[in-house]
Amino acid sequence: MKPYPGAKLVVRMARYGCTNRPFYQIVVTWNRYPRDRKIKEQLGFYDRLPNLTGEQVLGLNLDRIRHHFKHGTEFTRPVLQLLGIVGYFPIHPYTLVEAKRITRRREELEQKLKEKYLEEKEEETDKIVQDESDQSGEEVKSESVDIDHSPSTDNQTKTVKSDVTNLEEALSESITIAKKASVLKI
Amino acid sequence: MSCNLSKAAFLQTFRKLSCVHSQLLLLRGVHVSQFKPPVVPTDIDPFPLFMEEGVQTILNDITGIDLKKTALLQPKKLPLKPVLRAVPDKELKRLQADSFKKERSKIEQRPPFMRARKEISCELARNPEIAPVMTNNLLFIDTSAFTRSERANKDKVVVVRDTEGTLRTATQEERDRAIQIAFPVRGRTIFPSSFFKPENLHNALQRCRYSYVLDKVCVQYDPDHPEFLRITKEIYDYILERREFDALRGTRHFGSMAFYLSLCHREYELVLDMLERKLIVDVMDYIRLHRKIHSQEGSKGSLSKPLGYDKKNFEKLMGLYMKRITGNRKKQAEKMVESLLEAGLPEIIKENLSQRELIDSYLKLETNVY
Repeated sequence: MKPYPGAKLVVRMARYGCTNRPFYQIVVTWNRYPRDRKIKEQLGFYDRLPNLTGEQVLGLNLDRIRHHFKHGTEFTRPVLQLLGIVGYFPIHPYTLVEAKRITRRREELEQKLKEKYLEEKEEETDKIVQDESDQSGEEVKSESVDIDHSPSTDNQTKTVKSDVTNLEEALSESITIAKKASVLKI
Repeated sequence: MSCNLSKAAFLQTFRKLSCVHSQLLLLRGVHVSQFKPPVVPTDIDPFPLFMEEGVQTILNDITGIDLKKTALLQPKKLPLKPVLRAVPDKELKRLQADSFKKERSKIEQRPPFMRARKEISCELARNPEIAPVMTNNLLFIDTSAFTRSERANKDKVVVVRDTEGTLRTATQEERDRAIQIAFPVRGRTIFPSSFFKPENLHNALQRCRYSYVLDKVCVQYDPDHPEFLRITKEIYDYILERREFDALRGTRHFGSMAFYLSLCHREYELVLDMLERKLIVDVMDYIRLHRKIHSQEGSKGSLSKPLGYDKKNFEKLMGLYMKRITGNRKKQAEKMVESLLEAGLPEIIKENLSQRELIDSYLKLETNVY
């Protein structure tokens, strides 16, 4: 018995919970009904935020899901994704797309941080060079410019080499900090 | 005195203690070094033994039914007005029979003595390509058990998708948590409360709240949970040290405690306690149980023969039992037996049997409720 002409059954997530605290019920409704109201049947729940032990909890009534799937109800993409992650369905292609996207964002972040780090290092070395040149310039003005610069250039190359070895160690910290600070799943 | 109790608390506990031995220990302050905690043997599988009919009937008979004690042990939230009724004799008998049956059904729900459960976790699938999406583990539980007939926790499917993308069956702790989230048991918390920490447990035990603590443990954990085994072992050892067996007599934990003690070859203190309280029929049953548990695949293992409770069989059993005891204990036991024989064994046996028959008659009465 259809509540309105052209009604289709749909399995989707209904958002309950409070502000900044989402909690989804996985639910069978008619497709034109409001998101949270007039539910035909509840099939499960999904808590997106991690609990005390750092887990996201998902519960599904697989018997009923199977029944609805047999009778041709539409499943929305997030529900299908969850079912794929759980292993009841094959993994949804959108999860792979998401995964690729996230890895790309991560790499871009790392690149940015690397560049920033190198820039900072260059600035520091430039500053050191400037200070030294100022000092040496004040002391010995008569001597040629090349001789004054040589020890500082040697130091620069040495510092660059050591920087490269220490780069990854120093970067990993900043990367983890940036990851934690980011709102997106990076 | 080396105990931590205040004066009033000390007096309270002193009054509650049922045994001279424990009172002495309380006065002296307990010497922990003298007591050797019992060790559970690993070669015998206790669960199938425990669930045999003969064993269960013996444990039922040993615990008996004590309505006053259970009425005292009930937690009272509000002071209840006493209900007074005038009732004919038949009705009275029926009401008593109801309460006896209720008690017996509660006692039969005794926690079985099992071995600790094994960790099961196997990999179902490996998908490292999903790993970036999984910021946390995803704990999945199949709630279709609501719509199915089977209810056992072992059959419920709990599965975890790791942050590395591997799909695996959950560990026992994760399973417990997930099952408690989806199929909650009343009184159980998902994360164990600080009640079960050693210091707080010790506090409760010092005030002789043995069955209260044991009931809480039974609610919180399943009988094959390693924490359950650890805590019950602690409590039983505490009781054994002080010989406070009477505190549990009449509750559903007495049977499991008796089974545990006879498994660990520490049944001697219980036997002594029973002899002191002149429960000779119980002694005979308990020694039969002990021999059954430690029988080595032979004729001694059978409990099917109904034992005639008389002087001859008692002496026979005690003789067989005392072959295993040596030294001081033997002398003590022999003294006890002699004193009982002087006091008049057959009358005591008659009394015990009449008590049992009373209980049986109440249980067999036909009532509407039970």
